[in-house]
Amino acid sequence: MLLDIRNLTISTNTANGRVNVLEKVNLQVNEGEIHTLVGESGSGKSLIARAIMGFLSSRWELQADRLWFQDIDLLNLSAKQRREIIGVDIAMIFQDAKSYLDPNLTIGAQLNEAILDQDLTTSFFKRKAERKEKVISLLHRVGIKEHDVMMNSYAHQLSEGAAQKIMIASAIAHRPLLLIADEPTSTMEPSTRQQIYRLLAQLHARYGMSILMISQDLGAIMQQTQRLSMIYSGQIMETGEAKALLAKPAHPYTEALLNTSLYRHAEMEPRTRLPTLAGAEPTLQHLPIGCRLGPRCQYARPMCVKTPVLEKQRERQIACHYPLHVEEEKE
Amino acid sequence: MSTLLEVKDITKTYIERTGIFKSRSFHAVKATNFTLEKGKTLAIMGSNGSGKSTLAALISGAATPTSGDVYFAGERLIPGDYQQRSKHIRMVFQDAEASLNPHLTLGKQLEEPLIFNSGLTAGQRRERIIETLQQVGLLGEHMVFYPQMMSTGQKQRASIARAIILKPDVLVADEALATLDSSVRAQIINLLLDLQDKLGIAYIFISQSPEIVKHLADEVLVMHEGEIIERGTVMDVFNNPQQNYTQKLLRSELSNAPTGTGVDTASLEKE
Repeated sequence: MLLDIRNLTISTNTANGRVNVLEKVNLQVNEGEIHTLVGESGSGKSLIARAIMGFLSSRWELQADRLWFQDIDLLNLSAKQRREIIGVDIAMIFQDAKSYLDPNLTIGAQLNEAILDQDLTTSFFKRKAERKEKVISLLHRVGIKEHDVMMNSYAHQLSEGAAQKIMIASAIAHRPLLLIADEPTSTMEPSTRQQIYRLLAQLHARYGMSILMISQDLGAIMQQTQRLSMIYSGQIMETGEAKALLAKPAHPYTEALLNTSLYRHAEMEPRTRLPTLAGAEPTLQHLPIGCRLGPRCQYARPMCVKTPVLEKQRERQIACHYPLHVEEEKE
Repeated sequence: MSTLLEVKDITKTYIERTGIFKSRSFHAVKATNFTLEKGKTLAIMGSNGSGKSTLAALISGAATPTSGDVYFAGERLIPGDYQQRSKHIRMVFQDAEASLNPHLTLGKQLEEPLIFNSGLTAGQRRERIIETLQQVGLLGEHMVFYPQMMSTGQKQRASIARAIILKPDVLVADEALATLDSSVRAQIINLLLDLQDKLGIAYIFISQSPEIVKHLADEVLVMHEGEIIERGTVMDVFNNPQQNYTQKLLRSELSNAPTGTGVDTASLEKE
């Protein structure tokens, strides 16, 4: 197992006292796997990514039974030791790629910074040439052929897709084992999104790099996703093999989110009303007790005020007292 | 059906000065014509930079056309005359978070268009605000709320309320669904359909998502580099796209759809 998170709880102080923004989150990413974490805005999915990378600000208090990367316990590392892992073995790309690039430096100079001395093999005097070579090969790897033009450009001259490719190029400079992609395509137009997905799938296939993809829309996830995790309001609702999960959602939330997505209704008569989840996602000040989906769930029963535990049920983990489709399978 | 909105030869050219005597012009929208009927939905599709947002701005009056005119029920809409235009055409923007004023309560924001564009008294204005809030699925009590006290879905409802409070005939929605979460998006789609049935508003929908267009629109225009390259009913264009560009546009999103078992099995087996 590459990444193993057990019972991760992140809390913060609000006017109404202490609030668990993330509650007992379990997440496992296997080696060479594309794992997509789907949740709506405010569900805490980016917080998980930040907790792994270790850039949570001091406002957040983190507790976990386990936060392991391979066999390293990330919780007990000093900042310096953690920095070594994060720079090399775990990399992250973000939503708005352009704003993460330095506006004052050319793309070539920025990619040059991403290459560490330890990766260079030649003597001191030949290093400049070797670095340039490496930058060019990085650009080729992310599908940019006109490397000279690109190296002399600045961030503002790039399109969104190209900027994201540069982010990916600098993220993969050290061949990370795990790439965390925090909604890398959510602001892109569909054709550019496909390009980026194709690129990530290629990198995954060629180097066996694991990807933890964070997405807000079940309708726009990568086709190559192997495992899916659903998060709602800081609680993991369901985890399982992507294909099976989409075909037969066991958690009411997965079902509801699938139903709201138009992709599911390709055959539907135009202008019919879509099935929706009633109400809105709870705010931090008014988190419901027990299963946080409870007040919006059409299957909710009195039992749901007790927080369901994420349990393993035939190849899947489900946090629900009354999962769907389970009884019929038993027969 | 009578023609509600008619756009005649509208163009928008941006001129960029590159030197003291030199300038370069960029044709964002090239001589465009179309009509819209009452209670119908027109979708405008195209990739980034195709001029679809500029066209929306020209119709709603947010930009002044270089040449050409917009007619509403036979009457020419004068650029810059917002009182005339705002009673007929209103706009909803992409980012609900940014399009509401954080310093004003929702009630005050909804009251502003009424103060400027209607002769209603304070009491009537209040009644109209409460009525409109209920139409979009909010409550009269939301009048005292500030935007930051509401969820994203409620904010988008509020900006729709602001758009329909003057009882317009045409609503221009520029990617109004793009940034919403899918569960909120479904709620807003239902709301827009309900409002159209109840109030008979015509929509101009700018969108990149074939699914949304297919679900909501009657007719579709496909724009590319400032020109309309294809137009027709949604059924015709989606089932039988003539242009390569349209085919690409429609395919790009559809191919990605996880249709229950649509996860790419070929790539899974390779592992």
